Amino acid sequence: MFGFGSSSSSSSTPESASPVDASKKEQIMNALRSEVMQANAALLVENMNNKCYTACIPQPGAAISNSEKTCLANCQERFMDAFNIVSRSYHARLSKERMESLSVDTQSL
Amino acid sequence: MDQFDPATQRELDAFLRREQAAAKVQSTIHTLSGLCWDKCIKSTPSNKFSSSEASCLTNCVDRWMDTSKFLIQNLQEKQKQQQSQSLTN
Repeated sequence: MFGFGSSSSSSSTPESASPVDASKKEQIMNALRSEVMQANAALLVENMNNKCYTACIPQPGAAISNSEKTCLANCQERFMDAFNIVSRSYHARLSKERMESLSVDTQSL
Repeated sequence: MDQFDPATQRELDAFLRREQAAAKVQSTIHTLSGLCWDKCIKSTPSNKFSSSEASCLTNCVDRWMDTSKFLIQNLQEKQKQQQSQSLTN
């Protein structure tokens, strides 16, 4: 078998692939990666907008106030913190679950 | 688009499957951030989380996973019970 499985964009190209195919493949992979990153960033900003609006602008006035802006700036940082905590916890839990199901599999052998 | 040679095609297939799996994980993280933010952040956002807010966020993710596991197991149990009942009837 060839060295598939690596998610890096390095040139782990199998011998049978033509250079044209290899560069087209890289193009497709990079285009998809950047689409995914943009979609993630857009969703993060949208969610942040909604949560911080709810948290910091309880009663919309005629104009945004300085204290509301302070709250929004704090909220933005806290929302990023929360996202990172959640992301870390979820990934940790997923790998724990994976380890457990692996050890169950080997026990049943 | 033209066909790729088989090796490149396989590599692209594998890449897509990995990206799809990663996107599913990311999507859950977005959902959980919103859910856990609502559950854990009760005070006006300040310059840092209180320690109870931070631990609530971590617990929130783990209990959500427990919830999901429990509900799935519970459904499976019920299904088994129903099957054995329909067999004895």
